[in-house]
Amino acid sequence: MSWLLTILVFLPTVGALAVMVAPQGVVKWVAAVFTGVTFLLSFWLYIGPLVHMGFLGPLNNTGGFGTVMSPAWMDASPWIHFTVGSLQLNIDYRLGADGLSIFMLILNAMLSFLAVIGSWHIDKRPREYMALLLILETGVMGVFCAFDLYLFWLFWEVELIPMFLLIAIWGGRRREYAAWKFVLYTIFGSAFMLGGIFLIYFMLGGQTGIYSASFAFLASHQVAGNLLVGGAAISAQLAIFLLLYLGFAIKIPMVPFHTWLPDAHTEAPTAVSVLLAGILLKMGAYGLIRICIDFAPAGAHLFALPLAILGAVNILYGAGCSLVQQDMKRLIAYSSVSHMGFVILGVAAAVGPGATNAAFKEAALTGAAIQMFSHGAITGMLFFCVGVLYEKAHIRDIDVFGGLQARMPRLTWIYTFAAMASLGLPGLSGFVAEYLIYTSVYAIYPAQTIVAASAMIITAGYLLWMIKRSFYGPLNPHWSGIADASILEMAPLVMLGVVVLIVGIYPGWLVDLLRPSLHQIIQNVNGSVAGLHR
Amino acid sequence: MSFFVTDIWVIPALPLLAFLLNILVLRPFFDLSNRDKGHAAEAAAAHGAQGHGANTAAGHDEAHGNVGDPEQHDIGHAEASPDDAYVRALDTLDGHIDTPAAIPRALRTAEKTPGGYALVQLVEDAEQHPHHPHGSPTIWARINGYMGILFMGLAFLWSLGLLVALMQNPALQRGETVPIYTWISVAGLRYPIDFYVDSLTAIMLVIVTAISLLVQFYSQAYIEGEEPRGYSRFFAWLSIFSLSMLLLVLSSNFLLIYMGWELVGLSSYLLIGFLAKDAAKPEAGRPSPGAAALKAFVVNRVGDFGFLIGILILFTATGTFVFTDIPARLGPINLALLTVAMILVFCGAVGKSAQFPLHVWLPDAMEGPTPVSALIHAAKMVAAGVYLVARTFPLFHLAGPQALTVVAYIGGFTAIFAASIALVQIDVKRILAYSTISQLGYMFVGLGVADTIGPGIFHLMTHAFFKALLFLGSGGVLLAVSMNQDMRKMGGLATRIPLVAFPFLLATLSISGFPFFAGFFSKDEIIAQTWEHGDYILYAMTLATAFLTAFYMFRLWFLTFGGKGGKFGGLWGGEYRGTVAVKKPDFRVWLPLMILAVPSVFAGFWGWSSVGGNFNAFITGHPLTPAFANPFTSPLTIFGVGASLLGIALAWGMYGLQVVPRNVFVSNPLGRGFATVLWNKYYIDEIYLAFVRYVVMGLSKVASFFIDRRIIDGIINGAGSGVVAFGRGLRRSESGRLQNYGAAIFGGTLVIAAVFFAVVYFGK
Repeated sequence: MSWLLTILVFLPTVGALAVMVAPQGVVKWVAAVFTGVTFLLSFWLYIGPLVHMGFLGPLNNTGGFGTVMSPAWMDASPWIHFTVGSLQLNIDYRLGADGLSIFMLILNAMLSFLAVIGSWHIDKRPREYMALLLILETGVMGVFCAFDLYLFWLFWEVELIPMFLLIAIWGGRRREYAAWKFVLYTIFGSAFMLGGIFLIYFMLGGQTGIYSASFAFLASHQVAGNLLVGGAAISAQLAIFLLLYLGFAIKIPMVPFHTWLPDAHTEAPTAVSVLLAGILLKMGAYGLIRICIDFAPAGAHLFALPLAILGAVNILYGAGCSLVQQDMKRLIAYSSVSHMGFVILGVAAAVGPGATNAAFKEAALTGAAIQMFSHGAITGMLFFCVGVLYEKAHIRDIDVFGGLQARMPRLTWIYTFAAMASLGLPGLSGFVAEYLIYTSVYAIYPAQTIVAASAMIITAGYLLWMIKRSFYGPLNPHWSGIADASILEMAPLVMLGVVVLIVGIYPGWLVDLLRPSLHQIIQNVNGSVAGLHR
Repeated sequence: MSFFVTDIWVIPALPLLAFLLNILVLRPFFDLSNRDKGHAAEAAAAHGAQGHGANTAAGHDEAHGNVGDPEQHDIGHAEASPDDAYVRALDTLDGHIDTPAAIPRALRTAEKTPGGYALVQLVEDAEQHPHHPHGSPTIWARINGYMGILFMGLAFLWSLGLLVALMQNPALQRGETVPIYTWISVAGLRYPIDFYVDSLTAIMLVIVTAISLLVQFYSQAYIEGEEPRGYSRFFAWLSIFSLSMLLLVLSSNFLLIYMGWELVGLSSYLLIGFLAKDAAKPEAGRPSPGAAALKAFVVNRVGDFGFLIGILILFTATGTFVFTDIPARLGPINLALLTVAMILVFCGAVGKSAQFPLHVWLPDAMEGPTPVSALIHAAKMVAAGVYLVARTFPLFHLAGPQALTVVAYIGGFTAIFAASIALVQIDVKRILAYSTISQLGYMFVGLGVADTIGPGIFHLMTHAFFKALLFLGSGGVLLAVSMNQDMRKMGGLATRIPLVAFPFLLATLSISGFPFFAGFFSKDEIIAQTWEHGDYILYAMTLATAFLTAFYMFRLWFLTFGGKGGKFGGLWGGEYRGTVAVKKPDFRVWLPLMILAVPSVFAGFWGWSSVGGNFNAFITGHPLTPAFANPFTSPLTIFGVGASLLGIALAWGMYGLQVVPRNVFVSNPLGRGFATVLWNKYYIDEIYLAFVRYVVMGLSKVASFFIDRRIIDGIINGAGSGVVAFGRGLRRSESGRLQNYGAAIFGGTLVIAAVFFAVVYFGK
């Protein structure tokens, strides 16, 4: 046991306790120190294996950061073992991190740290606010490194409480409505998810005689047979896939389960919006890749075509809705719906038809995973930008501004940078993911890809139109006294900008990090698909 | 192999380095920190102007003597009694800052009223009137400029060395791949960032770096005159523009060319919107720079969408992006599919090179500073589309003949279409913009009919020189007449700014196809090619365009530089109709013009094999067939020259000598109607606007406000109220009686057990 993952997960909780007892004046500093240390520690997840392999190891080595079967990092100990007759409930405390987890953990640690910095201006009960941010970080960390399905579900639910409170207490005018909507939607999904977890656990236990919810076990054994639902036989894997997927789809969010997102984003305080878009949506995408398609590959395969259509619809529908929003945050929230559609599309292609397309499938899944990372960083930037503006103007409606470039040059350029990254400008990370997805998904689902790609026109339209209306043209004299973004406000933006730029110019390292994990998933999918067609 | 080839990365690295030094070092740490602190005082003054806007603004107006513009005074009067709605809005804002819902509506109403706009405009004018810039760039900003020029000069020398090396070593002309790095490699699919050097690359590099160098040199004077505060930033954007274009030109594959392609879009967006504070000028039919930049980017994205799909077809069929690998890997690809793919790739070119129907962004792009227009029109953005077709020409060849036919006919139609619009415009820069669209049409005709890229690229080269000259020259005119672009307020400028006028006249002759000027060789070669290949429709189109081009260019010349009372029958000088005093430009303006005049006149001889060499043989390895050896032995040339001279003569007659009545074409209703259609650019902008506003936005509104808000949220909120009602009922169960809780626990356990049992049972 290496303890690193345990520390990463629970250090923020310790931080939350420290924040609760710290003197009033240093509350924000304590939170910053704890998230900062977590952030620095999280780098060891990446650097540790690199050092172990010799620094340039993974570039030529497909072992690298391990797979879900043998992750580079593992903390495990037995936890709950409960047997009544033939009913066995085995829940282990099992944390693991392979390439797919590592980069989400680092992203989470980074965004949580930046969220604390970006919340420096919070005056309303800062102690509770910071404590909740830290508990949220614990919950999300747990989701990304839980390697036991029950533990995963536990962390999935843990994250809900701080998020609910953060929106409901520190939110905007309709904060309670938004918070309730968020919670009801998520709980609705997680109920189905729990059903899916029970189904896979007990069916697999019944079929193999081993009752285990460990990821390594679930990834190497697949449920067989059919289920009778209302007299009709459907593939058990399809049932599992659909139950789990419903929970994840709401989080991603997938049309038509997306309407909680614009409300939650609009009402949430800036830093919470950043975390919501940057991390919480990724939990859904992560679950889809890590759990749905790896543990129920045949089921995913059967649902691939609807998934691809839903992905394309997501992309276009989100983009269209963004075009007509008045509120900047709402606009960006809908753009998240649109961009997360790329993850769905990439995953759909990865489990899609065509045995000869293995290379394209792996590229599609890589694109989907990179999109998770890149969308997290870019949307984080966009929300921070709106946050800076809102902090000064107390309003976010696009049309009330105009010509702000004259007074806020710094914000103008960083906002333009973020918008360009979001619309997929080459050299920035958004392009990497989108281009990978386009070039690979087209081999499997050409029509859906064309529909998805047509959104690139609308995306450019809504983002740059927003920039044009707020920052270009003659200065609206009401804002002639507005100050530019301060150094403190620029810091998180610049940091994320650098990440976006590095990934955009040389995405190779990220692909190398992900390769073994994703390769295992693709093999799993191809293997069980071949079995399905035999 | 020559080090000019193996170390080709130096060329894009130079502008990149200039950009990084500018943006990361010189601008933040030296330029910005050394600015005079007048800015703060000015901001305070502007703040005060909010209350006493009328006085300040009116005073400003008179002080600067904006005569000849009556609207300006009208606005001043309207402003003198501030609009009540606006004042109310301000009060609302300052009073209740925490009630966001109330604010936007009030502000919006205020902005819609004329007074609201006027106030916005005048406070802004008082503060920073773009035509009366105050302050000058700091020494560090100037150093940024010098650095950009120096680095671009080095890149130009490297390109020139490369061109010479290639000329001396024909083996190198056929192409060499220079690997840089692998962007991504996943499951055997490689996404390479590699360069490719052949004679086409070398020619393009020389054009791009040469024009960039001259434009940067020229920009020093221009930006100082138009927007001194943005001096450093302007040079930074110029460097990133050069970098993008060089990446595009150097790429060996569809990945990098698409990246450069999009980055060119970014640079043009930044540069077109450079004068971000300017408002739209609806009375002159001019959008605001911000709107123009947005339009350029989005319209280009429409083309890019097609381009991307084309790339996807080719990549998924062959598994490679590399141009030279694709033909071999195509295998038994469906010919129809390849044809479709190439037409889609051409869609990208239609967007970037502003061909019909995606030409609408280019005239609006004139809102950028004039050096930017010169860059976009001559060497960069628009050349990219032509270059793309030339670079992928082997694939066009493999595809069905329909692909190149589409290229040729889109080009031919655009040529005559844009030339016809240029006939009636009165804005100097817009005429040049339409002439660019038209000339690019020629290039696509050349690529489409000639079976070789020679004639198209030859015209690209000559056009780059004379169009850069024309734009920089028009910039010189604008500097001289205080940024007024309306030709009706010009006239007779040749005698007032001869150093600008002389090179401008040479370029006008060149674009009009006057014999022995560069444009004559390249354009007549294309016209001759259409005839040689038996495409008589295109021949007629291109010939008619040659006539129109000569006419509208000399109309421009006479209205701007010549006119009644000038020498040589109105050709040189004459009556000046403007009101502002004409300022003489300094050497940073006229020197680049003089330099550009040389290739604008002489570059054509490279295509005349018996005199200057064989351009086509250098580019493609084969001399052009049929040989365009001596233009005077070909009867076709007579018609081309005839059309050109006829156009010049007509313009001279109407605007110079004024022997032909001005209203000769619009004296009848039919002519007037046609002129109205041309003046309104065939109403294409209006059609697109209506489509976006009513179809795209309409559907989006249905999605957002009906489907999302009403249907989906309706269901959710309904379910939510159900839950609340259920909770109200449930509250009664919290009775506090222990036996009730006990019963609940027992019942709950039973339910869970039943669920488990069911799951396990059905699971087996």
